[in-house]
This record gives sequence, structure tokens and C-alpha cells, in this order.
Amino acid sequence: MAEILGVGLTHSPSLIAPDELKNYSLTRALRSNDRIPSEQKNPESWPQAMREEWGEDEGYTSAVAQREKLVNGFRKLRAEIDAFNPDVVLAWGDDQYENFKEDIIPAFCVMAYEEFECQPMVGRDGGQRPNVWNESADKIFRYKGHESSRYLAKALLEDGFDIAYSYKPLHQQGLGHAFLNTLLYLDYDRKGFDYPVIPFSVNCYGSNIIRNQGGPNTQQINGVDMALDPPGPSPKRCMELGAATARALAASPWKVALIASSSWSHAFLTPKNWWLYPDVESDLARFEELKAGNYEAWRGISNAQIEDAGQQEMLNWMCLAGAMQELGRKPEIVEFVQTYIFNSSKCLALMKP
Amino acid sequence: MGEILGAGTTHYPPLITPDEDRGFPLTRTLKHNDKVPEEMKIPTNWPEPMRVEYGEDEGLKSAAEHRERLVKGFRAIRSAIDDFNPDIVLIWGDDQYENFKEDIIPPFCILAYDQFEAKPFTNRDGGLRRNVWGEPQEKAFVYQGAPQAGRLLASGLINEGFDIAYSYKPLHENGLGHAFLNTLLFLDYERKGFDYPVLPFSVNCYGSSVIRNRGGAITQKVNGVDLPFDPPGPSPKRCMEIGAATARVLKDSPYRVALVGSSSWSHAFLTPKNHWLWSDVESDRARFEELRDGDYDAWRRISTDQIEDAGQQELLNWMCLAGAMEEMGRKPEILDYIETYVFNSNKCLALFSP
Repeated sequence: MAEILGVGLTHSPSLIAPDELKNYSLTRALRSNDRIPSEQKNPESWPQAMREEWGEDEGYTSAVAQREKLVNGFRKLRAEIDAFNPDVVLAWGDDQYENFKEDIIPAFCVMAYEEFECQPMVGRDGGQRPNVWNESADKIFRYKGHESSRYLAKALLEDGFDIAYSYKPLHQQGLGHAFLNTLLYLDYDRKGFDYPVIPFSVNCYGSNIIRNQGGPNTQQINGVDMALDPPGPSPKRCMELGAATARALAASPWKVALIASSSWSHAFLTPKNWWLYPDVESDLARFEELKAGNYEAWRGISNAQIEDAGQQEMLNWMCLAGAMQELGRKPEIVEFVQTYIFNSSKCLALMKP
Repeated sequence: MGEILGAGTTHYPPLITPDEDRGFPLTRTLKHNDKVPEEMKIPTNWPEPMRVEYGEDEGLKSAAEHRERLVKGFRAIRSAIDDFNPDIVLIWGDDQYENFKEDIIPPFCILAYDQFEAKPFTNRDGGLRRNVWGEPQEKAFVYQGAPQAGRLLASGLINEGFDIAYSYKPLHENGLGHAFLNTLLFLDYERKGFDYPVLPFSVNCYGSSVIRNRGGAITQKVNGVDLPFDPPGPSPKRCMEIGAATARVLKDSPYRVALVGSSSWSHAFLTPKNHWLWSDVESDRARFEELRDGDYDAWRRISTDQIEDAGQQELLNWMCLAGAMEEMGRKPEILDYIETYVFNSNKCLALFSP
């Protein structure tokens, strides 16, 4: 008998590295983003709340406090997932120029692999990635796929959604960070994560996915900025896809946890704040709408608004919101962590049967 | 303001090879397809028109006539394209396990490359592919792409709620898959050159068997077990919707565009009910009469199951064109409709002029 549990969470990479390394996107931006005027790099010019969070120790105390809130939240989400005991866990996550590159950018892709084999503790340079679990670079994490992925792809295609599907990796071995971090954090206590997984890729980065390779810096060809890429799917379309996913799975034999994985506005995607802090006000508005179960307010948001607010990755949550609206579910907010210095505000939520 | 010319063609591969080589799918099926019952390999058990077409020379004489009609049709289409003088030639064509494989199957993809370089006369084994033009194995064909128009169209379609994929460079197929490349070769049968920028628009016609059968007739096995069915391709209805949206976006663009739907219709090697020997001639005739009458709505109601039963998978390319032409209020001018039992598939050549 089909049942669905909804879960919203974050895959913020900063939870992997030990806080004492102070390897936040803000410290990197202050160090190496030349487009930020030097007066903006001076904490004196920051919003009051940001200065307080930064404190006298470059945010270390705040980082420890943020981690504690998030880890507690993830433990609660995991406990709910265990209590629900799903047959499969579907995660909507973005592909940040990882699996999909110039040779194809799908708007959506269901990754119907048999298995995902990942080595998250290998750094980009191939060396050891420092991590709070002290796990070695060669440690392999394996996750199972699930037959429901083909069922879902078929149902969505028959319902008029032009989704792509895949049976094996393209450019990214294993899983992109949106999916992998989600699984790592849902198993923060390392008791194992044996639920089969369907990663459902969403092109959140839209008009800059190739142009900026999923980051803040525009690529150039012969000294000229690359042209904008076609946009990602709109919030409305993501909600429609989420609703169709919920319908298809509600008619299936499986118990499914539907997860949206992303932080909200990202500092490094918010030029109006000099890439230093996210659009806190816009996130707060989205949060009030979510808390009230006012999913309909999200449907009218344009891609231009999303990009202005640096909320590109919220498209993952839009898919979940569409699914939950379809099922008539109200959210239970587990945590909403607002921050100026840790790149993005983060929401953890449950939508229970 | 954009202007649009519509054209329906085929990309039938045997038009490349000299007829005397008898490189027809039927010859291969008779030789290599073990699923065909032995008695069905005997021409006396074939439909009467098929026996006549096969004749006493294994279809050689019929092949020459088939070619003559097709080449004449292609010349007429090329002439109409030249008169129209498009900024871009957009082609809906299928990807037959060529550019897209297990690592991603998109229902639709706009190939917004800068250019396409293809060597159609290099065989899969690296040797020369004999061809009616006597062109050498290493001859490269370079076509300009339409990257700006491709981005514009992808953006327009995404904004209209189509979840279209796009790409800036090849994935597995260097240059162009055969649906696109053959179309361009045949539109330049006289080899005077083809300089119009090209925008290939890939359609997953092979749907539930694109990986299972690798775009062919034979089901792949893993450890002796048939691969399961893949998710389906887009429905005729969805193809017509994306065709209509394409027409709307391009109508509002600065470009003059030739929209080409490229494929033969029912394919023998996709028609198990006819033992993979001949196509579903009756079903194609019904589709043809609907097209001739401009009854696009009849096509919209066709299900994916009907398409697969009739071996008409590749007709989805024409469905995209039909949706566009319906949106533009265009009626077709049929240049030729060639029915055949022996040459794998029935072929239609048509123009939809402004």
C-alpha cells in the first residue's frame, strides 16, 4: 500500500568539514573574490546581525551553534524516516555542473541506477578531504537503487512531463553533492543507510549552469563572457512535476519518503549582497509562506525573482511543495536556521501522513 | 518576424548505398533474424504485392524505381528550401542509441552546437561505406550549427512548460546521428553543398526499447535474461504539443526557419506481427489519408501502444512537424507517398508552404 512521507532538508557542504578549519564560503569569498569591493569586505559595512554572527572569532562560535541545530534536526528527520520505514527514498537535488555538462543539460532526470558507489572524502585534488567523521579518502559509501525509478519515469512521461532518465553515471561517478551530502547527513551517526534511493535531478542553476559552471564566476571564451544558458524549469513547473510524482507514487505499491534537498538563498548567488550574504528577507517571506502551508504563493514566483534572490536551489523544494500540496499536507517545521555568514538559510521540515 | 516553411522527409539509409549491393533491411532480416519462422522466409508465403516487388531479382529493379521517386521528392524539397532561403533548418529526428545511451535518455534534446562535422562514409568497422556518390571514406561534411537560435528555442520551450534538454556538444555520437545526417545528405543529393545553419531536435522515438533493443530489432540480454522495457518515449500528443510550441516560439523570433520532420513511417524491423519482414502498410495508409486531409487531430489521439504495434515509432518526428503545422494552420502538399513491402518502410515526402 502506497504511503508518502515528505521531508525538506539541506545538503550544505559546510557540515562535512570541521568548524575549526573555518572553511566557509564567506571566508573563501573574502579571500579570493576580486569582484567584491574591499570596503564591502570590511565587517564594519556588514548588517548588524552579520557582524554579531561573525563575532571575534570569524564565526567559529556561531558555526558550532549552527551545526548543533542542524545535526539535531537531521537526527529527528532520520528518526521519522526510520519510523516510516520506506521502501525507497526519493531525493530532489540540483546538479551543479557535476553529472551534466555541455554535452547535455536536462531540466529533470530520474537516475534509475542499480547502485551508487561514492567516495565523498576524496578532495577535488584527489587527496584527503577533512571531515568531522575522520573518515578516510578511500572509504566507499554504497547506496542501492530501486525498481520504482523506471515506474516513476514511465508515469511522468505518460503524464506529459519531458523527463530524462539514466541507468548509469555520465560525468559524476556515484552521486552529485546534493544527493550524497543528504545521505551523509541523514546518517550523521553512521549507523548505515540501507534504504534504496532515487535521485531526481533538477536543473536549478538554469541560465548560469554552464556559463558559471554552477558557481559564482562567469566563464569566458576569448576574453568574452559566455552567453546565458536557457533557464531552468520554473517554480510552477517544478510544483507540477512534484504533484505528478506524488500522484504516480500514491498509485504505486511502495512506501516512499520524498525529500527536497537544498538550502535556500545562497550568498554566492546573490550579487546584490556582494556575494557575501544571502537574501535573508526573501527567505523569510518564503518561510512564512511555507509555515502557513501557503504553497500556492510559491507557484507564482518567477525565475527572475528566484535568480534575484539567489534562491536557485529552492526549485528542489518547489518539487516537494507541489507534491505536498497535491497530498494536502501541512508542514511541521523542525528547524529554520537564518544566517548571514554561512552562505544560506536552512530549513528542515516534515510533512507527515 | 519569423517565417516558417514545413517539410516532411525520410532518412532511409539504403538510399546511401548502391542498389546493386542489396543492403536492404529485408535482406539482412532474411539472413540474420532467427526469430523469423523459416516458412515466412519463403516468398510464396508473403503478401502478393511483396512478391511482385521482390520479383526475380531480389528487389533490384524495384529499388531503382524506389530511389528515383525519393530523389525526385528530395529535389523538390531542396528547391522549396532554396526558394524560401531559411536562416535555419530545424530537423526533428530520432536518436537510435547513437548520441544518447544508458547514461541519459532525454525525450527531447535541442543540439545547439556551433557546428557539426561528420564522416558518413566511414563504417562502424572503420572501413569505407560504399555510397552512390563514390565519395571516399575520409570525406568530412561540415554543417554550421545554430547555437543562438537553439538557446532561444530551448528558453522559449522551457518558459512554455516543456522540460526540454539541450546540449552544446556531442555526447556519444560525434557529428550527427543518422536521422539528421542522412536528411542533409539527401537534401544535397546533387552535392552542390548545404550551407544553411542546422538545428537538430532529437526525439526519443524508440521509447520502451531504446536501450533494451539499442534502437534495433534485437533485445539485449544480461546473463541470458532479456533486458526489461525502458520508460516510453513521448506520446504523439506531447510531440504535437512541442511542435506547436516550437512554431509559436519561432514565429515570434527574428528567424526564417525550415521545420523538417525526418523519418520513414512503419518499419518492418519494428513490426513483429509481420515477422519483421514488412511494415504495417495498412496503418501507414490510414495515417497518410489523415495527413493528406489535414486531419492532424486524428494523429493526436494515437496512443504509444498503437505506435509500437504498427512499428511507427519514428513517426513521432512527423508528429512534431504535424503539431507545428496545425498551429500554423497549414495544409500539406504531398509530393509523393511511396508504399513498399520490400524496402523496410513506407515513405512520405511533403511540403507545408506559407
